[in-house]
Amino acid sequence: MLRIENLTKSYGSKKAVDDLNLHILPGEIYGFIGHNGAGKTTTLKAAAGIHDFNEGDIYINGVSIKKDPMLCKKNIAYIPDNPDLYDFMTGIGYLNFIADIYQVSKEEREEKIAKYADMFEITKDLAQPLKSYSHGMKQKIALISAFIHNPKLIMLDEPFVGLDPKASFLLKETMREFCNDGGAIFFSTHVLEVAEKLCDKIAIISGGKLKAAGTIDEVKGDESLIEVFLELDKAKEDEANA
Amino acid sequence: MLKTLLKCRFAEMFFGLKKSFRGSKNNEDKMSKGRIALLAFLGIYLVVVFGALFALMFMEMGDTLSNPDFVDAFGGKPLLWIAVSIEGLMALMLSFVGSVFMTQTQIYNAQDNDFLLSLPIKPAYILLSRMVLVFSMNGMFSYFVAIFAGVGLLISDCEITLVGVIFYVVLNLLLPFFSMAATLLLAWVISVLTRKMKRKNIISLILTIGFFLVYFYACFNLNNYIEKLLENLTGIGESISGYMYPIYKFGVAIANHDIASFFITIGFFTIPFVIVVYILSKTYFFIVKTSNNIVKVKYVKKEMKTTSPVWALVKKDLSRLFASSMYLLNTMSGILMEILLVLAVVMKIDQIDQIKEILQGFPLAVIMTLLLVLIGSMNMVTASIISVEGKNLWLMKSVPLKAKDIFQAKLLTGLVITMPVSLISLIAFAFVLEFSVVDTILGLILLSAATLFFNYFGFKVNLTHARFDYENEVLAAKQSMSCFIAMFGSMGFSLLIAAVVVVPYFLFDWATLTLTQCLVSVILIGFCYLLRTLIYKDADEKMKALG
Repeated sequence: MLRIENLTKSYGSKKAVDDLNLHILPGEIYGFIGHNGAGKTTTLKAAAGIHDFNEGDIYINGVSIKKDPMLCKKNIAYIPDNPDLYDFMTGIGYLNFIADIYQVSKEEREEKIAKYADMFEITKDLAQPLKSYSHGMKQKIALISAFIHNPKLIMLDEPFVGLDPKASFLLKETMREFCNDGGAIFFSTHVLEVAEKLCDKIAIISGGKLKAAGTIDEVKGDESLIEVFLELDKAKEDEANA
Repeated sequence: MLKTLLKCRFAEMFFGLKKSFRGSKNNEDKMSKGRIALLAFLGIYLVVVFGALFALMFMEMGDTLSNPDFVDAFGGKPLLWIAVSIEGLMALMLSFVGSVFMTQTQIYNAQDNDFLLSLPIKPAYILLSRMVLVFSMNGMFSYFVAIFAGVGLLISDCEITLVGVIFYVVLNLLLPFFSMAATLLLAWVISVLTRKMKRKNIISLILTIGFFLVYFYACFNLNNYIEKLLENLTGIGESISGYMYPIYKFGVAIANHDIASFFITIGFFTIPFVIVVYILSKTYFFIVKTSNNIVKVKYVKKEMKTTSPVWALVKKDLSRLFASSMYLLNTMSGILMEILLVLAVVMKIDQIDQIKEILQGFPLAVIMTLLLVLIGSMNMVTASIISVEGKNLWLMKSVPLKAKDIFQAKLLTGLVITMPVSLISLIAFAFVLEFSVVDTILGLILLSAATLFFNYFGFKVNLTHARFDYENEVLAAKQSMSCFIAMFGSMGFSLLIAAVVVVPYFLFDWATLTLTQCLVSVILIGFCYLLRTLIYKDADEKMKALG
């Protein structure tokens, strides 16, 4: 579903992502773990077609994002860590706008909005302007907008930040349901417990380089995930000091 | 504490200005030499042109009013006060217009209000620090007029004394308090009235436009006031008091060294300010805390309407425009002026014959078309339409739309806003002023071509000078390099259009106005095609490079 090959992205002389390779299959929930500034958001933005990159390529469902970005973008949904939505729109106005952009039929958008808005308990607030929404409410609207157009791959940057416990639980359930139906999810997180319990596979990135990737068991072995993470992080610091 | 707040306010203002005129890339910290040269040129151009304009105007006025024949014709009384009064009036009006847009944003809608109110700082200090910034904006415009008008009067034949100069300086220093009282009052009225309203933006837009209508009505009648001043020179005290008493006193105090008038003027300039500040300080905390309260609207499920992606983008950009009255007024001042011009023509229809006489057979249709072209150049919708995406740019970049479609939607937004009002205004003139069908059609073609051109030009400039780190869209429309270039560029082009239409008509026998209008229309359409090609060329790469 998502294949990242030798991805390198630099900001000036600094390499934010350095020769990264990842492969995410349909049905997988793939967690992307790393400290602040490790290169997670850059990778996600490059895969979403927001950022250009210097080397390598990214394939969505076998299609290169460099060669046919429109087809790739039709098949994905991306939600940034801080969902800056159009504050001047109402919740329902925003969802309708996204449905128009992805040309979702009237019946389908009505059905999807009703389903997910009820699920996230936000239906009564849909007529409110987005500027009155809390971070969590905006996150819920962003999530509904991601599900509205039947993407094959959903990329989420820190999706659980700001969500209440019930909404977090529902999101995890929905993510699993989406992947059981053949979709794939690639998301970044700082919460290792979430990654451990929810993900089929994880990748750990540090200093723009992929440090480990695979199933949870493959990555952590006999150790806990936090121990593996700290070890890799320490190795990075040692490398930097050397 | 107040000192720290003031330092923050000024740092914020200068940082905002610096940011606005820096390069279009985020990592471009320093301005290029070319940019500095351009800014220096524009700055000097503004100061020299407008400064010279004021200085020459008041020098001329001073010479006329001190001419013994002129003075004798009006009963031998000194007339310098008229020039000083007009200076005061101009300073007042300019400072009002220059600061009215920022007052509401600065005082009530500042983004750090919540943060500052959570700190152990007296609300009065927060208010005062914001007012200093508003005052500096009022003062900048007002002092500009005062300095150059003062220079003009000094080098004129008027007899100026040291006392006159001192009075002039003192009263002009205090004058911004009067215009500030008006802008603060407007901001306060809007905030109080819209505090609990559902359609807050529309109400505040209507109130602002209403206030402007009154303001422009006063401006349009300025000539009448001056005529009345001249007509009633003999019985001045009673006849003027009904019109512009404070400004009359301002003129008399300075020109005639009238101590009583001097103190009365000080009272006029400062007392309204003190009263307004008192009201504001008493209600500031309450209004700020409640003005962001959103009136709860219950969602009622309705049948959803679908539209194409491009029109969805147009609708989105239109919603953004109409969501903020200040953003709307900053980008669409031309439209407002066009509507006011139509109203003014309808109201003054009885004077049209006199204007036709002055024109000596030159078609009024051409004049009105060129006037609408000039006013249309003041619309800045496309000059900031990319920049206002700001923090939402990620959305435009992640949706499956070609950059060409996104650009097309933004250009369409500009046209949807500006074209109908311009064309309807011309059609209204055609009916009221009885233009011929041919003149009307030619005018409509030229106006359409010019409007299209201004939209393309603004968009191209914004595409080259887009910035996305504005705190709100009002700043993107006010303090941006692209709006600055588009505004002066469009105005320059509109004057060039007028020159190419009119000048050959007077210089060459072969040149008819029909021919020149057609020629200019064709040239403009050619330029539009060129700009369109430049905008759409490598559009996807340009889109990726934004932000």
